[in-house]
Amino acid sequence: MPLKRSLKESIERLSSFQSKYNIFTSINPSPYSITNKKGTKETLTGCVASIKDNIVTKDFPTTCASHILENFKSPFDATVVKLLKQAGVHILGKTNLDEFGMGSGGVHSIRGPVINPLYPHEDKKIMGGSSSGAAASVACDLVDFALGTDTGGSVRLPACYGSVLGFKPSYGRLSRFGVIAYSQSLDTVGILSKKINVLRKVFHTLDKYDMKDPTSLSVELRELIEGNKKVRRPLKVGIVKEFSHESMPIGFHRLYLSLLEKLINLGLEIYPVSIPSVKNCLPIYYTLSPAEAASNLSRYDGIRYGYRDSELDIKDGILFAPTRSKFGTEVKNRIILGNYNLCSDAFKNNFIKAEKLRVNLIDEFDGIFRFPNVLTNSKGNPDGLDILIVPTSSKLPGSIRDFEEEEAKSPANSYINDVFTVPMSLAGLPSLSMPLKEKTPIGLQVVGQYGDDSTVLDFVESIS
Amino acid sequence: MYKTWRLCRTHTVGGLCHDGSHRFVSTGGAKIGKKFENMNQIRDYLSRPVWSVHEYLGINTKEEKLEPPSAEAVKKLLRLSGLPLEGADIKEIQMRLAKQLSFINKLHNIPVEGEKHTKEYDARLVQRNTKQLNYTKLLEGISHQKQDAELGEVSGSWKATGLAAESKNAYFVVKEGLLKNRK
Repeated sequence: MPLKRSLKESIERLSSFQSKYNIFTSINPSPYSITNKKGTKETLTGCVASIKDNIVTKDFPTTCASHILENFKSPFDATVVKLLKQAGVHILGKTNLDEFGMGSGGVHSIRGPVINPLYPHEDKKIMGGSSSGAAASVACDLVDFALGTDTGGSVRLPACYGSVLGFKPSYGRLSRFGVIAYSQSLDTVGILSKKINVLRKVFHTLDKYDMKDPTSLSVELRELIEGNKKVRRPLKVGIVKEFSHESMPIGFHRLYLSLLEKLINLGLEIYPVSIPSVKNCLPIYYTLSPAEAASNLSRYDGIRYGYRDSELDIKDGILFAPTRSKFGTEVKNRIILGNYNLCSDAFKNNFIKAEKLRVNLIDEFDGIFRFPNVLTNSKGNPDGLDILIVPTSSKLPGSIRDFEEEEAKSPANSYINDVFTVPMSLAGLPSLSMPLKEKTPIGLQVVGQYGDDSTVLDFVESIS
Repeated sequence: MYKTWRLCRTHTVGGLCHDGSHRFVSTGGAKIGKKFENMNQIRDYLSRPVWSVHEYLGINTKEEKLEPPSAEAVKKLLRLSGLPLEGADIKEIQMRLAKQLSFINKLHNIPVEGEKHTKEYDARLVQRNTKQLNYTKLLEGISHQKQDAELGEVSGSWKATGLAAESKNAYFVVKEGLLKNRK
């Protein structure tokens, strides 16, 4: 199967898919054509890609699907974009998303919701978010791969709903310089593709220390991780008790059991495992991420860049309120919640408690993995596991109308979509969502210890 | 069925307490069970879900009691958030916050394992236990800094006000009301 699709073919098909599924926020009128002179085995020359519209590009706008950044054009490329251009990748366009990455349905965008292309003849279904356009661009075969961002599951959930691969590498592996911050302790650049060999090549192209990103994993720690790699046979796989829920999509268990049987036949060992802190992850996540979002989004005042109210800078004594009124409803809700969590009345009770519980979670993950964690100095459990397998979603994609109605009743209804993905985000672990069946929105995450991204990729490749 | 492992901060921060004979002390926390021997054991294990996220979070249950923050508290939050009061549906925000808080307030009842030794700053996904910087080292670091093109520090390459909707003579413009009439 060829690695690269024809750029001409993608451009020809783009307009009909765009009008049906609302995938892109902007389309590059002249995609790049750069020859990779080095011609290394990792070359991506001629591959076609899409970029989520919260990753800055100097050649066309970066809007975060928000009025606040409508028409904003960055003076520079994000490091990940720069590396792709150097590798000879054609960038087809910027993809739609939940505003500033806030949402799990792909419906909170000034450009309107992304429609799931797996259901062309049914009531319009959600794509999952927030990297909704990224997943749709891959599902429609418009691109070889897409770059998204994953804060609490924003690459993995839409990848699952689009029946494609979605990889969130270890936190700090890929540079976030030029990625517009939502929640900086969680934000990670992720890769979506239909082919594991493409995904792996993209990962290797981008997996580099970047001095421009203060949270980029240092060269020293990358070398330490490489040094820790040993052949582990047989590979030990864990099924986490706390991810076993009563309500799972119809058909999930049959496909799940079939995969487990395949693993046993391949000689892998399978173990039950309990990680009690997993249960606490949603409240931890929804305490920390809105607090970080409130801080990050305080910069949008309209003075230096982005949208600015043409009349006023102050209203009711509140600075920049006329400009900031242009944030969408979900973003405003999260800013308000975040400021509540950060204000003096709640600070000690909520924020610090959530941080400490996050430490407990990280330590529990350290306790069950065989591979060392170079961040925490965990030496690894010699009797521990190499891989965890975890469902990606507890639901199938519902209709856009139902999703919006449920969310209006209570925000917690949409937060629950993140229950299987948030634990790995909080611990910074590499996690790859893979479809259990072609063109079916049921996925499984393959999870490794921090830094052990290659084991995750090898595992998925070995069973694909 | 489960082996348990103690997380020991005295020997390795966040790591495992090793007694030298590849055996670990059991105190709770994460646990690995015995290897599954066949598919029947796996089927049985997966057929018994251990919790319901809806029940845990008290969603759609009768016990859910909502205590909305006061209207004044919401107005204060809007000010803190730089969002306008005019047009804001205070009651709707109160109810929404109440539902969000009933969700995240679960945190209050969860005990922190090893509370005394657990440092909130270890939640950051960066290397723990790095060497502390002092004033002298900071000064030394600054003294070696120089303009770096890799960081985009190229003289004359960028106009600071180039992206502003309003600017005058290379200055940003803030309107008169910004400095007056503030509460």
